[in-house]
Amino acid sequence: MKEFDSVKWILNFAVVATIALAGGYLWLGRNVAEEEQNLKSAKQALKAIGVAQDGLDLLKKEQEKDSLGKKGTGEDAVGAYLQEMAAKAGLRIESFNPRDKENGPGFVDSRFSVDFKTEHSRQNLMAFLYRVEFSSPRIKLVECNLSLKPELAEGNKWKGTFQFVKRDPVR
Amino acid sequence: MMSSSLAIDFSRHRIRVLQLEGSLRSPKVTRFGCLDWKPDPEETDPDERLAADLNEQIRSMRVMRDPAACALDSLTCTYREIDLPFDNEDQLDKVIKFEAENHLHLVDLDQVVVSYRKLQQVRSGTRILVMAYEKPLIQRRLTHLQRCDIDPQFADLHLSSLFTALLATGHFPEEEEGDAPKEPIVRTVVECDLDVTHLLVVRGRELICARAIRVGSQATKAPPTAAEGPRDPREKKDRVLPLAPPPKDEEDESLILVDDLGGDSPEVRIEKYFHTLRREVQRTLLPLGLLEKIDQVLVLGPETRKPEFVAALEEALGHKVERARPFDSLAHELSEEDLELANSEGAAALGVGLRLLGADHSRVDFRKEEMRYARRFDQIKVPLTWMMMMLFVFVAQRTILRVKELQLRREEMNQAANAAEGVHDLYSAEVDLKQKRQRGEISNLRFIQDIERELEGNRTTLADQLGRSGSITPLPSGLDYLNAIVMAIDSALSSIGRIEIHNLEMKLDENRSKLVLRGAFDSLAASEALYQALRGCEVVTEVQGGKSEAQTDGRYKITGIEATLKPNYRFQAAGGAPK
Repeated sequence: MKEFDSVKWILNFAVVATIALAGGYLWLGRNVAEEEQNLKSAKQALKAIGVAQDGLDLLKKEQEKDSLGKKGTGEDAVGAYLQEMAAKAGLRIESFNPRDKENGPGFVDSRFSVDFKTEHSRQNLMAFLYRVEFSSPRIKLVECNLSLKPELAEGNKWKGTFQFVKRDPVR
Repeated sequence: MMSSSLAIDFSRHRIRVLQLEGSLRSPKVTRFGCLDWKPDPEETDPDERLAADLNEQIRSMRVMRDPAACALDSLTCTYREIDLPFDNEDQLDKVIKFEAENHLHLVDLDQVVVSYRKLQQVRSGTRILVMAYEKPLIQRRLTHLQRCDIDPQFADLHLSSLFTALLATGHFPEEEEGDAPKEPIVRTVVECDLDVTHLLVVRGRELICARAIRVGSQATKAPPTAAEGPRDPREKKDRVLPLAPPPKDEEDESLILVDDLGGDSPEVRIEKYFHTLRREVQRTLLPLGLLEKIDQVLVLGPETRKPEFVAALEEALGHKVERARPFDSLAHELSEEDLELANSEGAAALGVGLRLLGADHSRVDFRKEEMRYARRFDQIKVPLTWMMMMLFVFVAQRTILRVKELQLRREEMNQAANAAEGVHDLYSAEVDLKQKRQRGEISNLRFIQDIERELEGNRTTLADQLGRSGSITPLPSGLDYLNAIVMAIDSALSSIGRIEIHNLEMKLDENRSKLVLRGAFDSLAASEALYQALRGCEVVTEVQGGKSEAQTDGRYKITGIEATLKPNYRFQAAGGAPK
């Protein structure tokens, strides 16, 4: 009868267990490496979330102050907005003309022409422009034609036409 | 490279070394050599010289030292034939020592290693040849070998190895069925060694009797002549080597043929030798009832190379004898001379070598008890086990650390996802994403990335709606252009002087944006200063001077001043502050 070889048994056990553990160790190593890579990606994503969050906060604040947006998106809303801005600048729009719309990549530009046929002080006109652009980021001045009669140069009285464009994204 | 096996056959006067290559099916003898050995009584450590000589012999033969096995000389062994009522070898292994005790009355069983070889089946069971070898003698042989860096796997007996060799080399062929005689062929093998005669009686392929007779063929050699000088007195003593003190108590093994006084004539000595040999062979065969039934006599031994010796042997035994040539049937790399030498006295070494290759499942092995052969694995298994246990602990520790590390990473990821979820709660009313995470449908990373995409999408949409940098190009601001131009003119006002701008026309276009001015200047230099100021303006890329016309009031009217404007200028992006 063969005698029980405890050393051999322990050795066999240690070999099998070590191989199994080594396999587990390698498997865990792969998981840890994968998890570290995921964590790295997650940190980058969190950073991007922070940036997007800041941007969104700023835009939301801007949205809150957007007077044109509050009035709506149609031509009438734009007319009313410009009229309001003119009134605040001590002016009155004498002619408001929506122009043809132009399509761009991912957006539609709506063009509006505003005429001041009678002379107005330069300060009022510039105040009007500032109010239009600063009260809503959606609308911008793209064209202007201002003239000054030499005989009225001392009073700094101007008249002319402004063209504004409102750019809307196409969804 | 073929594996080599080393076989060493110890006799009292001579050590035979043999190297075998290949397998049992195709063994090949590659080396064979003999080392004569006579101890010097004045030597303090004859064993050391024997080991040194053997080591030198092995080194000069250029043989591999592992695996190896040896055969011990037969004379120093005690033999008994006993009958046991069973033949199962496992059972025999268990009882042999106790059974031997009943027959080896004068042997201290604690001082010997007992081994056995099965002989024939008898009416009462199995007849076995019990062999008892003194432990100190075995230990000394092992010490010799250890000093030569040889660890024999087993220690067979010369007598047993001789049978193994002859059986494996076809000297006891299986009888063919067609012409099989009724009784198996009975053969006697007589190996006439220098100091001993080995006698085997074989029926068919079965060993039925084995004896080591203390009669050496050295006795047939002529004594030194007067010219050669007197024989060294030591030689008289050397007939029985220190390793093998003559047994005092063995009645069958007391037939030493020693001419102690050196007075016998050669003829007398030769006659005595053959007479004794004939008597011992008869004594062996008679109890077996085979005296008249011997079919073949095979002889081996150093002296059998001499035809006159063989003839004398034939005459003494009264039977025709044949020389056994075990090496002839094997492949070999030996010279003619070495082959003759090997055939005459290398049979036992061959038996050891063949047993190393797997021939003959003999149980004769004197490496037992405290001298047992520890296989390589057994030799290293304890340190190996310690190493494996240490490795196991090390790997286990590393694995536990890895588990902890993985848990930590997952916890960090979870915290990151929770942070992202907080942002998601602030900016999105959509609960689907959170539910997916809770249900485990999406990973934490995917959850965070989805929130990032969602938030970025919201930001882009709002930016697009507000005309900010989003997915669409933001509009340029005419007010920014006007601001920049006014600031440029204002900064150069001291050199320009008083100017009157009568008309300002600005058009921002994707293709070409421009500014056209008309006005009145105090001098042409003032108009040039205006051009310079415009050229220095950050929104202007090019300025073309207009037409100048002198006025009646001394001033100049200049028309068509045209400045080409940079496309997509943004005041804040250019580093300015709104004014």
